[in-house]
Amino acid sequence: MTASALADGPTRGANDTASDDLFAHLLSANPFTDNRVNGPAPDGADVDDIHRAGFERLTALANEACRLRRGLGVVLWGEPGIGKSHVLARLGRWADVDGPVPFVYLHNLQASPEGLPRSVLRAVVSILTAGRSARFRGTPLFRLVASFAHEAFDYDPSVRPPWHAVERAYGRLVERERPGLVERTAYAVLFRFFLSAYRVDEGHNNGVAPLAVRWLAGDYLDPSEAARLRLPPGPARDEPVGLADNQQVKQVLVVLARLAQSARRPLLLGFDQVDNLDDAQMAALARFLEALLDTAPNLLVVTAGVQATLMHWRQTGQIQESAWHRLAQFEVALQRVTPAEAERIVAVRLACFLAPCRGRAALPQDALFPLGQAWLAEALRSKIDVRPRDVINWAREGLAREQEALCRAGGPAWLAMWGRQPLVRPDAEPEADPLAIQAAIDRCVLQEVLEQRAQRLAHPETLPPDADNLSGLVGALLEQCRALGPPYAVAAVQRPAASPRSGPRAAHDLLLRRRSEEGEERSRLLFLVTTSATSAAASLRRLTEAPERDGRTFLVTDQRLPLELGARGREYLEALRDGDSGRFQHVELTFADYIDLDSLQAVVGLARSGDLERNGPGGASWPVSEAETLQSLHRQGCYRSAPLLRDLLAERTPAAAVMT
Amino acid sequence: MPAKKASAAALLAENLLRLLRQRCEQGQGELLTLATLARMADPAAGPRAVLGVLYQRRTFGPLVVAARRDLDAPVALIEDMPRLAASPQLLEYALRCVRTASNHAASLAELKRKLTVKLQAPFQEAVQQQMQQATLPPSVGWLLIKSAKKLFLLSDVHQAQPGTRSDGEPARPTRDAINPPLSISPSPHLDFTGAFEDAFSRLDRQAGGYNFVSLADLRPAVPCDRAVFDTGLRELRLAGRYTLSAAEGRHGLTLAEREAGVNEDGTLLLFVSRKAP
Repeated sequence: MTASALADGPTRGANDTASDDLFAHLLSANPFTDNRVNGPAPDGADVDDIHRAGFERLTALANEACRLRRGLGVVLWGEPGIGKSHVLARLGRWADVDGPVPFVYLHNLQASPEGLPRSVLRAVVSILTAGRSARFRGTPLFRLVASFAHEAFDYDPSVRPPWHAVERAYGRLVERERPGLVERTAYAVLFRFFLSAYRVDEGHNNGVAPLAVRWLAGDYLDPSEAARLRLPPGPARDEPVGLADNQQVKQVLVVLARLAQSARRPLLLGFDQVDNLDDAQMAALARFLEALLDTAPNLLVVTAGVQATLMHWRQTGQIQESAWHRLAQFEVALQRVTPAEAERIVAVRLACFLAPCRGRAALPQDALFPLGQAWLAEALRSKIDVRPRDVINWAREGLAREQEALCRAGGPAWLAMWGRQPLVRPDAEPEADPLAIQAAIDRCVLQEVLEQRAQRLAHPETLPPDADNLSGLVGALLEQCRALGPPYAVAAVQRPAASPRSGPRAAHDLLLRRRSEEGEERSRLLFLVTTSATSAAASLRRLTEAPERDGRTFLVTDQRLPLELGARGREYLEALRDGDSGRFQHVELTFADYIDLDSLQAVVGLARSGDLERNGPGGASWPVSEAETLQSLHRQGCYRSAPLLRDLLAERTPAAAVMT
Repeated sequence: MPAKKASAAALLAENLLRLLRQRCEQGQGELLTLATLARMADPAAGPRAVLGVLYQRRTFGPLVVAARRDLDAPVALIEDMPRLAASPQLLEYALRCVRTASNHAASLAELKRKLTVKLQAPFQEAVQQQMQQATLPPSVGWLLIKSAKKLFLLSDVHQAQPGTRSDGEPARPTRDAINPPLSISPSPHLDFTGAFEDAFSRLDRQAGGYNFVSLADLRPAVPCDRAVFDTGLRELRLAGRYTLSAAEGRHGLTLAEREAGVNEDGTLLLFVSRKAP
């Protein structure tokens, strides 16, 4: 349908053209299609006074963390669809205003419990460096170090010291913090990052800044790289150098929070949808955040989730009492909105949508046009309070009906009759038709997968290369295939401990056991996402020397951090290729592949936390359960077509090794 | 810096004590947990600091606390000990402490061992008296198991879901389904709002003061039938005093929770919260 198709008058003036534009605009989009926020987003049609108290509480706590130089924990809770992610997005915009400290929004964490802290640090550093691998000048991390250096000169804007003076003043300020060994190293690495990133723009690229970023993100560096960063050597001369444990990971985060203090802004960490974490992951995350909050100055940790789930974790001891009291030291509960607030949500979205037409075309005197006050009265009839998401769903359906009527009647006739026709509210979808329900679930799941993909493409920095996270992600998806039963014949998915209490560390990160006619088929997966040739060689050596060599072996790498091998590493890789007679496969995932996998898991996570809802006629919505989501992904062939999974779940052993 | 730490703990202890005395003087008699009291006295005090207060014997001497290593333990001035010992909060607290996943009932002797020594005798005496006089709190029951009296939380009792039978056929309404055994006889002159507010405050306190009370706990605590309860609750919601939220936790629902929830537009609303201003 086009604007010209809507016009039905013989003579055409300026008013007619404006009306045509209005009709075309009304048909161009539905402003209520998006009923969820999946991360930091531009303000769009934000209504300031919805959840205003909760939002202001968060900003007050953020300011308090900064003023008191303390770590504060706050839980942001409420039922699904109430607006938690919306409030977090608003907090992100607040943090972005004239400050170098962005809001670090984290969700869909998939790393192993012991690897979660490092995964958090990696995501924080990735966001602070805008996901870049070079040219760091102007990134939030660069500006944070600059703020610390400014503080070293008492923020005197007239001072233009030479670099050696900056280094000395910076060092003096570091000493005032009484740092431990790791903190002192982190401050020094940050200064080298700053200097190197600054000089790149003057034509002196010494390559130190990317090394510094890798070390700060918890990656291991080769001894020669560590020497360029002037890092203390590792325990053995040839060993890679990196943050040894979660205590050191915490200390780097503490230093970052201290840098934010110089910028007079708090470091904000927001963990959204934590209720889709496994029990063990949540327990580990809570323990780590407790330790971080106890130590870090100037830090606000916002943990957002469904209250019932968080309370359950607390009551069953998954979140220990002491950790709970740090994470939930403050609470912000979001509640249902009143009908008056619901009206404002609708009115603001409509006002934004119609802004291009306002003043040009003659619009009816109804703030809710083209839905209208009559629609509102019908939609909110007998409602005491409502979820914002429901209001948006109802409005989307209402507007879709008006769009259909506009198409049927033509623009002028529709406008002439607008508001005079009795409202017809379609019945809710009949729940008795299982095929219709199934189709609706499939549409909903697929649409959400696409939305999650788009979100990640828009913010690649939120998904940095991370072997542990990738391994957890693939493990979780394979576990879903196991739960789905016979079609995938997955007998077990095992993830050996990274640091076993006894015995040597396993050579692989993931073991997939599948039933086949010949018996059991095993696939071992090693995820290698590092540029350290030493680390890579050590991992490949373990794989070549592993006593269990039956079945298939997969080496999984990330194209964004391609495998860099020295002579030894290449030898081991050749040995694997030659020795496993075609049962070895190297899969290099692109960022798009990673996104595909992450989006599938994100949708399952949404369903797990009750946050995935399918819509029916009349704006009715029903939650889609985790089991329904798995079945839908299976029906739509998402598992078998997903990168890496398609190889792992293939019916036959690949005939030859593949190098992509 | 042990001296500094000790003085900070002593200061916090003094604040807690002062706050409790103030509340007592102002006639605010409701019992508080250590966590709630600490949050009111110093919102920034961490759990370790608060628990550390309990070892400030000199300052904290005038107080009695139900357990030494638990922020959820009820606390009171020592002159209030008889009231604390006989309070529903303490009995429910002890039951929650002794309760495990595989055992929901306990003898009085088992319960008292969960409390500090000072409280054990008065607690035992008070509960014995309540059992004899049938004045136990509405949330607690007891029964004989192999001749021993065992106490339990009524919320732990499992019931059949009305309308279903084990063979899957729809059940005919039974007397219990029409008048569930756990509900309290409706009072003819019930002040619903008062009873609801009291029950909500008490249950919320027991759960840690998170403004999040399940209807499964709330319904048995308000002595009225379901229709009166639902009408009263609707009026309180219309007045903007309370709100409901959906039962969307990922850990599933018990039959009692399903039964207690309110179905609105196909959504089961289970949790009650005071409406934020």
